[in-house]
Amino acid sequence: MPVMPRIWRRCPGLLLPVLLCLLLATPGRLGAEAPQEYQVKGAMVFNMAKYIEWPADAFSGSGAPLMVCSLGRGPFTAALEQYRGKTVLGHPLHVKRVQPGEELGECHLLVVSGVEKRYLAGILDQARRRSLLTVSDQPDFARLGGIIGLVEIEGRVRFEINVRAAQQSRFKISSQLLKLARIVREGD
Amino acid sequence: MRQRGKKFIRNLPLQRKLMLIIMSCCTATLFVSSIFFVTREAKVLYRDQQEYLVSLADLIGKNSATALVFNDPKSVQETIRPLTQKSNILAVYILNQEGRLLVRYHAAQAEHAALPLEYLPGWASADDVARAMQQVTGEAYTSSFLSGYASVVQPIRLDGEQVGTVVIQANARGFLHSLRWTILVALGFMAVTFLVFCMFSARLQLLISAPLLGLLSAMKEISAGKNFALRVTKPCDDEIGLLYDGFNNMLQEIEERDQILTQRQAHLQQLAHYDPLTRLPNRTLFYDRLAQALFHAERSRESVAVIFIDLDHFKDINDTLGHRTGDLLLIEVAGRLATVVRSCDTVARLGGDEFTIFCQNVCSPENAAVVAQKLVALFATPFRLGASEIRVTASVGVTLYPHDGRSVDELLMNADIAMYHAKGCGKNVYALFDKKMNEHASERVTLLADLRQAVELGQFVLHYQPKVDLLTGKVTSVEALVRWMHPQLGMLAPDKFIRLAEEGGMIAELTDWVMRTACLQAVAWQEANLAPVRVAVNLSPFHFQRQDVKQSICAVLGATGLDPSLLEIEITESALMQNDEYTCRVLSELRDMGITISVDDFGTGYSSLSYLHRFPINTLKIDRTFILNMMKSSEDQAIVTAIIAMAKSLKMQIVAEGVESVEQLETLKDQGCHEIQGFLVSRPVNAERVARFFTDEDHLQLHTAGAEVLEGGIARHLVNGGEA
Repeated sequence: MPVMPRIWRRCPGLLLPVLLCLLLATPGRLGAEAPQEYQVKGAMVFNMAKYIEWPADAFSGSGAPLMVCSLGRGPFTAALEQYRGKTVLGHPLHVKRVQPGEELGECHLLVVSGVEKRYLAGILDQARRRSLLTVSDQPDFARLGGIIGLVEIEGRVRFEINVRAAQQSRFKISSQLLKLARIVREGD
Repeated sequence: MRQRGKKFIRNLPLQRKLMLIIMSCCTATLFVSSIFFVTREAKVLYRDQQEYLVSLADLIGKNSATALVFNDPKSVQETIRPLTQKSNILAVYILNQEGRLLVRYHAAQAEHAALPLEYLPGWASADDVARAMQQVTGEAYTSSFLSGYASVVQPIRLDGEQVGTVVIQANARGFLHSLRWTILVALGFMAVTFLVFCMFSARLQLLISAPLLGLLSAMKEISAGKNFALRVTKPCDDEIGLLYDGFNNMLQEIEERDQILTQRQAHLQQLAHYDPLTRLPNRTLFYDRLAQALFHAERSRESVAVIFIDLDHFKDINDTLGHRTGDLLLIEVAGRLATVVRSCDTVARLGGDEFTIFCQNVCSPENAAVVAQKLVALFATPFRLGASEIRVTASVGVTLYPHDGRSVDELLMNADIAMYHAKGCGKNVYALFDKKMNEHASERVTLLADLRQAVELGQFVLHYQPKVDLLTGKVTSVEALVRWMHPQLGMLAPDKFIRLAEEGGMIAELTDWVMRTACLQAVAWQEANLAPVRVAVNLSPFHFQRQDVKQSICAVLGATGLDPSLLEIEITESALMQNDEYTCRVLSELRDMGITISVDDFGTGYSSLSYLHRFPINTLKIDRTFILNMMKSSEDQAIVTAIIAMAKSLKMQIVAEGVESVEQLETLKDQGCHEIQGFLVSRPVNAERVARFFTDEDHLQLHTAGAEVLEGGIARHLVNGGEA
């Protein structure tokens, strides 16, 4: 470097700390990393949406956002946040955290995680009325009236689909997805 | 090496060369098009194979996308199961989004080349897999041909996002098989087409080579047979046609030149062996034929007559009537000679006016004499040359083989001698050769040697004969006449040796001697205070041919101091006519010096009278034969009268020679002749005796008295030894 700024030549001791500061200040992942398990689950939710056909009136247009609402505690919301802005079949993904009892009017997909079992019926009932696709990793979620439940089988995350519930909420689920899923009924 | 190849091709026969050119062009075209065909076919086959594999990969990708997304290897395995039924599939790999191997399938079938992904463990890191994948994509094209398997790498997409990769590797056996088949078909096609081209080019090259080879064979035929009259017919109108035309033109040229050459050779042959004037065989051919005839005659013991013919006075004819007339006469003579002889005989012209004939199978000398007589008789009728008629005679000499000689030269020499003998016998006769003639000839040779010596030693003496004026009876001049004082033979008259001196080339010296002696004598007479009398000297025609007449006369005059007006020159008519321009000029110069010019023996030659006035002549001397016959023949008298009349009108002096009688004298006097010379006055006498005539007396008066009888008698006695 033939023409070095004068300041560096005068005080070379300053160079190293400044470089270190710059290195540490590079923007990393904001917020805490979701655990491995939820990474997979988040991905599954995102991919599953691609195989689901919402009722015709669920979206105002072809480019309308797909609102994913996350209910309950746990790192699920954080895992979902990664997919914010990505598109599913032409719909950009929006993620929104909702509280129990909160109005779910603008949601299309409701992810339930870490909710006490006694609230579950209420939530499902509300979702059913609003034709929301419900996904949860709560045990027996599909049997309890949820549409898709994520379960762990042989150390792998798999999913169960309550076809009836889906049909009641006027969802069409791709046979491709159904092929991979375990089909359950309410009350099984 | 390359040079040798080039040379080899250059020296190939034309047909091979043409075939080679056609075939190499066709083969190159064929080869290029076959390569194009095979390449194209290979491309199509490869594309088909790849399209098939891509469609399979797409199918697998579509079917396995969901399972891939939800990380369900078992389901993915399910999706690729249909492929395992296909025999040509070697391996199928499905990579997940992270690029790690999720599912793999290897066909449990026979040999195949090592596949890049085959030996990767299931837990291989994404980097290892990526490296292997790189190899797969890198070899995507080449592996089909080199390693015998085809690969297809197809991403698996879901909703626009790549969720994995499917890799299918199939053996390329079908592709390679089809390719091999295609190449075989192409090679077969090439082979068949090559054969067809071969046959086709063999016919096609004939278009060019056939006309050229035709020309070549024609050329060989012509050069072998040397028959330049042959022509070639051109098969086409192109450049080869032009070549044919050129060839024909060249042949034409050669043929013409050949003809000219043949003609020239014939002409040369003619020139070498024939006389161009008379078209008779020349000396060369005559010698050749005679030699053959002698050879033949020797074997069959026959005789051959060799005849030598020489025209008499031909030289005079040439001199007086011109060479052209002489030539025409020779042609006529040749024609006549040819009529006498048989076809087996040969007539030849040796040169000049000498002709020779040989007759084969002559039985006796009498037969030869008959032929010779016939030959002489040929000249009895005059020759008509245009408007004029010429009378010429010939002397004929005859020799016989083997009697008179055995060789060509001997025979011809003897015939020549016989001919000379005939000439000596008065001409217009024939003579058979006799051994004595040879002796005579040798005598002549001896005489010639004597003469030569005589000229050196001056063994001569001059006699003088006076000319007398008819009116005054006084001597006007004396004619100097030479006598040879031969040591053994005594005094010889000029007719015995003048001809010999002419032939021997001594005439100039002799004439010189005569002139010098005569002039000295004239000077002596003057110094003795005698009356001025001219001295006349005869000049030989040979002397005039030397072209130094004037110089020698002037030299003599200068040396002796004689007044030129006292010198008289006598020349013969023929000398006058030969080379007449020169003669005329010299005579004019001599006359201008004051010398008197006389024409000797006038009337015997062939001179045209119309020319006479052109010459500076003072005196005409009428030949003695006219004077001799004048009294007996009225014709001769008429000639004498005419000559005298003509000479008078041309203002020339007239001298009558050989006057022997008083009658002649009287007649000549009546005719108006100026002078006479002859025995009537005096025979030639020595200088002393002739000086007695140099008086003022009338020498004619003496004879009219009656002495003429005695003098005339003496004169008649001496006529043969008298004047020249």
